[in-house]
Amino acid sequence: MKLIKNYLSMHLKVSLEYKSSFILSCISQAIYMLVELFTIYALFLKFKLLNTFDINEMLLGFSTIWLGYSLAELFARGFDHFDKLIVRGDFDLLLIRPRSIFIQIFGSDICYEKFGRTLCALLIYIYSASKVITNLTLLKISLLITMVIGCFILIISLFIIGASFCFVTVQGIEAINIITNGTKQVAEYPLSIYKKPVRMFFTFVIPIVLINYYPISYLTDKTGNILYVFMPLVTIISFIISEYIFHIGMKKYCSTGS
Amino acid sequence: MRAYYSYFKSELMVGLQYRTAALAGLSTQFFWGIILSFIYTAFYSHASLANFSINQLMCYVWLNQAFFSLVYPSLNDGQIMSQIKNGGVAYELCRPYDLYWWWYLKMLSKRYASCMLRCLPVLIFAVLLPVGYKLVAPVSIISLLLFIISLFLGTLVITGINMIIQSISFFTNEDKGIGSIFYTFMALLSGIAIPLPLLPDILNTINYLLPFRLISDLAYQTYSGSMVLSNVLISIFMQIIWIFILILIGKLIMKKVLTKASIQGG
Repeated sequence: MKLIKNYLSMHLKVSLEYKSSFILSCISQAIYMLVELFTIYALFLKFKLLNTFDINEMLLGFSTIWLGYSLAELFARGFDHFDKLIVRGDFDLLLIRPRSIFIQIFGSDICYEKFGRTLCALLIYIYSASKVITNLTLLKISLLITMVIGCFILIISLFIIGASFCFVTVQGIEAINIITNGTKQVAEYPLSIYKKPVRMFFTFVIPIVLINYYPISYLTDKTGNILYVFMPLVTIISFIISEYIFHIGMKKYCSTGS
Repeated sequence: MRAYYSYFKSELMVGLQYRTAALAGLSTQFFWGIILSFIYTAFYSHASLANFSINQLMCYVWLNQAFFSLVYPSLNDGQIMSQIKNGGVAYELCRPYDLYWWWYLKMLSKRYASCMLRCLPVLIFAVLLPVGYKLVAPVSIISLLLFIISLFLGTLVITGINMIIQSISFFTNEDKGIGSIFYTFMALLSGIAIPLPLLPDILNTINYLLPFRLISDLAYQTYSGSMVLSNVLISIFMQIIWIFILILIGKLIMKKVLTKASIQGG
């Protein structure tokens, strides 16, 4: 625990060395997200679908994904850019230390620049949740929290699976990157616009639907099914799978350092 | 003049060396194109647009993927920036050539080189896709010709804009903050983030006079015939004017910057 605290404060100090640059990139990251939001809004406006979809519900789905995604980018950048660790040979260093390998990779890079984006997404999340939910129950509050955590875990699992491939290929595979980014891109839109095959893929292969589409229908009282509350927890399974893949990869690892 | 020509050629050759990198980038273009076509067809299954059919949209998406490296807004090239940061720019200034054109050609050659490596596989892939997702043939020979001309002029527009941003970052010594905010808006207004015909009409009216739509949107819309021919010709004329304006502004800023900028490093 103390180790994690040390890592967090160390990286914070590094980012704050260049203050103006840090603030500017925080802002630019947030603007990037808002521009994405605008394009979605523009599409709905153009196709005159705004009356069939509730704008606040859309916002809620969008901000869930972005909140989970930017949190994952903030804390798990070490996995996202894992190939750098391997290419530089720094991964060997981590292996000889008597600490958990996972915590060390988490600590290898924490990207505080994503904070602007995270905060912005959080504000949208709270705003849209307050608009969508009419009668607030304890179950709904816990669902709101588990949705974000579920998304966070799912994205991290994708990062870890991508990282596992680096053991074999050394260089990061861009295709893996696309899976993470593409999942995010698809899930930004309300999932009910997609046809069934696409929805099936995102239920059983990459279960992003379970943390965004189904739980939201519970939040809006469209369904009373209590099962929907526990859906975000399914992502824990994907995390376990990704961890397993990572360990298989690690066994195959031979150093690249010189 | 000959020096500039041979510099451009040698930079182009350097760019063509990075074949594996281009191959890695290709998968991005394929996947991204597929994901975007999924998203847009989802919208088209609910409603359709009068002046922008699904075929025209798919042309837009796939051409955008094929020529992405030619027209993407930000300059993914750290070379010039690192020259600024480590003081290598001093050597560039010693050369008996205009630094503006030197960098301009460097940026342009980089775009052409990575496009030459990438565009053909994406185009072939896009043509082979099933109906409704595929890239269809251009509406006429004339529109194909105008497409090529306007895409070429578009690269001159984007390089002109890049040079202005680059000159400013020469002065402020950082390339992440203001530049990347600007490029984000540019991605929106140039049709990289979303096809421009899908944006609200009010925004497109304002955008009509700005140079951003001339980078790639004009070329794609010419290809698919979603823009009227007379409008295309006017826009190509606008492109030529904007190229001159941007170069003029860029040169002015560069001149100002060079009198004030200090060389970093030692």
